[in-house]
Amino acid sequence: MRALSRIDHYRGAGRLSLRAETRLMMTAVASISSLVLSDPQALALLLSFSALYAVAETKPKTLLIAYLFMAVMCSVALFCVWLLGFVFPIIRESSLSMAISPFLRLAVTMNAILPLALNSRLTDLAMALGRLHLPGLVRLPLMVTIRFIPTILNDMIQLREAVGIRFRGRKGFLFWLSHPFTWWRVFFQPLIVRLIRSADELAMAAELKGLEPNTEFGGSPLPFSTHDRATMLLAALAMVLSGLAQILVGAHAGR
Amino acid sequence: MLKVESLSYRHAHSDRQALKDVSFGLAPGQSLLLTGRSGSGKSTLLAILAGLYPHFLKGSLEGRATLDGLEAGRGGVAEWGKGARLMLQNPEAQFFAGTVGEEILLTLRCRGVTGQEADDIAKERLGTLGLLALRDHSVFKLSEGQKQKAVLAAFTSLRPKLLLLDEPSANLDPSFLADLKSVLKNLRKEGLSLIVADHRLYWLEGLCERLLVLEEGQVAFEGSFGDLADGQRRHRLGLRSPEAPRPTELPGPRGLNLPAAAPAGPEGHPVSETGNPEGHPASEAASPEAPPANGSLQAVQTAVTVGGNGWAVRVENLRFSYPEGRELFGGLSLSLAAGEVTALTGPSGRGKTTLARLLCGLEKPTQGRVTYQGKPAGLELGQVVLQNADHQLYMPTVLAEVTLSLGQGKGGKAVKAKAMEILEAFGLAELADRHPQSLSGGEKQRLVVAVGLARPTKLLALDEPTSGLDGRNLSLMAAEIRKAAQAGPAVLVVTHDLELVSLCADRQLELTGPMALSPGGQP
Repeated sequence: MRALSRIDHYRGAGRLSLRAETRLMMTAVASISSLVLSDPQALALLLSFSALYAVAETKPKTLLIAYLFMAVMCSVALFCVWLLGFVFPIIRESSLSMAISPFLRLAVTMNAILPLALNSRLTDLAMALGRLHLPGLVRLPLMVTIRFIPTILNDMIQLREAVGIRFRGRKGFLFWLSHPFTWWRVFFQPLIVRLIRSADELAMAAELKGLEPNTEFGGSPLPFSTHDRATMLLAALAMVLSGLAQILVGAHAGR
Repeated sequence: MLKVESLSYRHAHSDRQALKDVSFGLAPGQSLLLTGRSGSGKSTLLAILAGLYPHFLKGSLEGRATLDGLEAGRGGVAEWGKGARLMLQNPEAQFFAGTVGEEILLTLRCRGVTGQEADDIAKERLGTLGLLALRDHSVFKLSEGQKQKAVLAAFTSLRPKLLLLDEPSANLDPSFLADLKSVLKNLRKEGLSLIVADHRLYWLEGLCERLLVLEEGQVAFEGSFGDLADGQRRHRLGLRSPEAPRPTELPGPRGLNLPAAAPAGPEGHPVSETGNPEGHPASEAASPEAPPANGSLQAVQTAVTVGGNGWAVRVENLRFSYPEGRELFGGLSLSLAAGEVTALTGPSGRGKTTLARLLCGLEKPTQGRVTYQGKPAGLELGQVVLQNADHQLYMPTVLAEVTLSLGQGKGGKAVKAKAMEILEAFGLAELADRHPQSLSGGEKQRLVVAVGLARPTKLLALDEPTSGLDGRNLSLMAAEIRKAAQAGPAVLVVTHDLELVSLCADRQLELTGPMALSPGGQP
């Protein structure tokens, strides 16, 4: 009978079956690059690479839901910025690139985080983080945060269903676009309540489980596969090309 | 030995005592049934006994609880957790690993047990709890009963002295309850003490010899399980019956338990199903020895008479497959009579909720059709109340939730009066001005059903409406469901709660046959 401890010998889910280390590295690369880059065209290039990675690793429906959610959040943010423009006119004078860049950064980061959150097992992540010598105080909150993401997605699906039932099947985009405040009340408010509750429940469950900052998970690393190497190569290429775009196009735009 | 001495607790920002002077003891290997009305303090007591005070429970505590000399609240949750383990009502919230086997290994790793020792313990636990076949299965795709067993396997891997279970029966069907009971009995033989907080009592006979009833945070009665036989005492304490109602005792004027559920014809035959050979008695078709030929579901205990109001819902040749192609229903036909309550029962994972969702138009059938008195089914005419109340409440007050459902969101005296009448019937009138999210679990559950019942509809489907309700509220809910049916719609109650079935169902439709599989998942 083979050992139960497949915990030490597991490749993540997802079409590419990447190691947790690879996904963590992709997340780190995407986050750092999107922080460093400021030119919208360079960010757009980075976004297209990250989208390739996300499409390869995430179910299309999940990706679509995440993008829709992000689009809504961005719309709310833009609306608030527009309102602020009446109080602070300088905001209205800012360039398009300044307005777009934060959202591009958000999209890049989301593309990198989704495969990590949805396809990696927490134990693999914990072991990978341990091998990277990250302190427990970073590992434990990160684990709980990532465990939180499927819960949020599930809550969103259930809330959407509940709204559809209550409003007699009016789930159409146009209906909700024309009733933003109703949507705020029936979708976002319960979502926030659920998020707070779920966060509490998960934190409690982690404590009851015995997960503590000093918990050691051990585990021996696996060799990197062809997919892992190819993904990392893609990440390096994305960094170089978008960096070049920032230098060349950004500088040109600056002149 | 667990000792609880004069324990009193008040939640933060509350002027009400959640627990008042609670004292009891529990010897190793003993088991205690903790019950009482909704909101009586059971879950708070369990949380304190799980060591969640003061880290999570931020209120004020007096008295003390000790387990073999170690005092709860001192040394942190982890230290106390070596001796006592709490299984929450929703087992899924307690998973942090991918598969059943890994969940156990992770629990062991959290306590520093690794390598071959961890492997050996995990294998032993999987074997003891009958989970060996599921060790590599995703914990998130297990049935509710299997999830509970996976949590139990993980928690008992470290040999705690005390196991606390918060409403373990809430989402389990009777067969899984029997299985869970047997597992818990075996754990007790290993010397484990048990405290089970639950409203459903019948399944605990022979498992919990001691009884503690809480009322408004105080011990209202202490005795043995046998003391529940006293009906007057149960009524006074708002408890359910300790005896399991037998399906054959179901009431109803429309011919329950009549044999020979005839295959559906174009007119007048209530239930048919392609896997049920023509002319076979329903009870025979439902037996495990006679699985349906095509792996679809079976209907048993069907009424063969039509209600005076005629058919409200007709299902013709319904086929439904999951996106990856696995078939759940392979040509199901049935009818639901207007003005009747039909209980949809059967083991977990057989597709009860999916069928209810199909009937209400929340899911689209792969083939076949569902009609309400000739019109296509849909949420315009159908209504389903889902299990999770949190997702279905969003108005600023309890009253506003009901007035919105009455179709007059802005109110008006007549609408408000009607809404208050509904709230009164559900025992929620005093909470009319409260925010719905501030209610207790049982109160929210009653409110979402009240909201569902307030809407005019052709079909009302209720998914597990009584999973966390005490005896008094169970009776109240059953009466309101019956009243709702009398107003005209067909009412479909998806439930594992046999007491609810016996109290309000006119007929019962039991889904048997092979276990339905969730998309990409396991039974």
